[in-house]
Amino acid sequence: MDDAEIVQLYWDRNEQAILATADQYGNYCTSIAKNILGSCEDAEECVNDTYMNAWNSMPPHRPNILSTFLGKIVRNLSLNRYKHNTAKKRGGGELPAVLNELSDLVSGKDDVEQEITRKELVNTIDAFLDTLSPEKRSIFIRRYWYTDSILEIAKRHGMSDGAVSATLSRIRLKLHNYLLERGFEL
Amino acid sequence: MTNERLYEVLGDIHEKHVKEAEEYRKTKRPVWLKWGAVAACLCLVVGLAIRMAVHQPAETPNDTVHDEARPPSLTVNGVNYCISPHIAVSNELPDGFMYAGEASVGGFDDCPYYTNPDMPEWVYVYQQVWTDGTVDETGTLNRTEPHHAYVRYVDVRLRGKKLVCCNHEYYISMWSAQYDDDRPDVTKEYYDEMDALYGKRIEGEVPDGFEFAGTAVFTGTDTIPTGELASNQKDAAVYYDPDDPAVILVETSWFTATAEENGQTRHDGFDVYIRYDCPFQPKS
Repeated sequence: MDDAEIVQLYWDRNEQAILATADQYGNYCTSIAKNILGSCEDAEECVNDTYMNAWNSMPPHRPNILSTFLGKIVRNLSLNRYKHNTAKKRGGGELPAVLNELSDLVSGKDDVEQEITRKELVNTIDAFLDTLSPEKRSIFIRRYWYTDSILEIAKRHGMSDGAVSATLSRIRLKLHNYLLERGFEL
Repeated sequence: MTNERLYEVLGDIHEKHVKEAEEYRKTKRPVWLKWGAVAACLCLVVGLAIRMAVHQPAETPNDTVHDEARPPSLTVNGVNYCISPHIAVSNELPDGFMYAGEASVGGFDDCPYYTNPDMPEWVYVYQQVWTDGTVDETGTLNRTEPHHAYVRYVDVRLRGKKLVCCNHEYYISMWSAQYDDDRPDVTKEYYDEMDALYGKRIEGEVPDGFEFAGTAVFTGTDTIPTGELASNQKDAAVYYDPDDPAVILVETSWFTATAEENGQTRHDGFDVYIRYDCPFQPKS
């Protein structure tokens, strides 16, 4: 079943849509949630919530790429769960390390973001990503969107762990400078 | 901004990027190496002209997508440079070249490149390579451990062009003259006219009316030949027609090996070169 057929099931309010989604994208969503949360139990709950969210958002949404649509939902839900868990001092998967790396790019103060339009910032980051080679772009997105571990990224890209870490460090520095040059002081 | 907030923002990047990273798998060799191998094999095959009828072109992996279908290139000062088909790789930066900037080349970001004001037709790029530029007996590039080296890139108006300079006039081989791309060497009308008159290659004795001009001096691959009689292919006998300055003939030989021939057959003759307006002609 292709994406368009699954989306149509949602629009038809056919519950087969959930089964088809789980069948096709269950593993994909689970891996994202597990990367962020570390716990299989928490990840499973987030994935189930993702199906419910998808059910509630289609219609009106008709996503072109179902995987990234679902991925975004599960990523947000997992992040919220992570925050909740952190408040209760419960562990976490790869996210603490990812957030620590992202600290290079931000001041850590909440007040600055008031002045920044989120959409402009996203557009600028998209433009920056366009300047990278497909391989570097993939490494960056696997780390900061999919929250993959360094080891997984290294395997996927046929590189050593050290090379992945060094590449990510260079990209973060480039992104930092790119944003600064365009007036984004995060 | 907090790191958590930035992580949230990154969740909104364009889905094309997310999809690309979902599907990305490193399965390919460096693009330039692939093209280097193709170029080296083609050079050998064309150079020896052996069994062209029965041999397939050099193998290429089936992972070709969008830009990777083309050999690596870069643009410097508005001029497009493409990796040399002869794969000139050296550990030392050739004399006269100086650092001129950095560019993304063949999938590698931030490659330093070097220019020489006296040789604007070449740029050297310092990049990762998997070869020392030599080829084995089959024409395949010899593989080495990954290392950095200076790689020659050639102005696309010169790259792969077989040129002869005869009495300071420029001639281009009918084999390499282009009339249908973005940067035509000659017009289609002119090409068709010369093709009808002489063809691309003449087999046999020197045609009537042509006289021996001398042996062209080989100036090197990827070079612009200059002087009384020079070639960027090899030392070769050149013939001219006093009544038709638009054409010269360059002595050559080639082989065929069709099934009927039961082995290879050598042919002797002449490549046809036609006069053209060389973009690199020294301004007087």
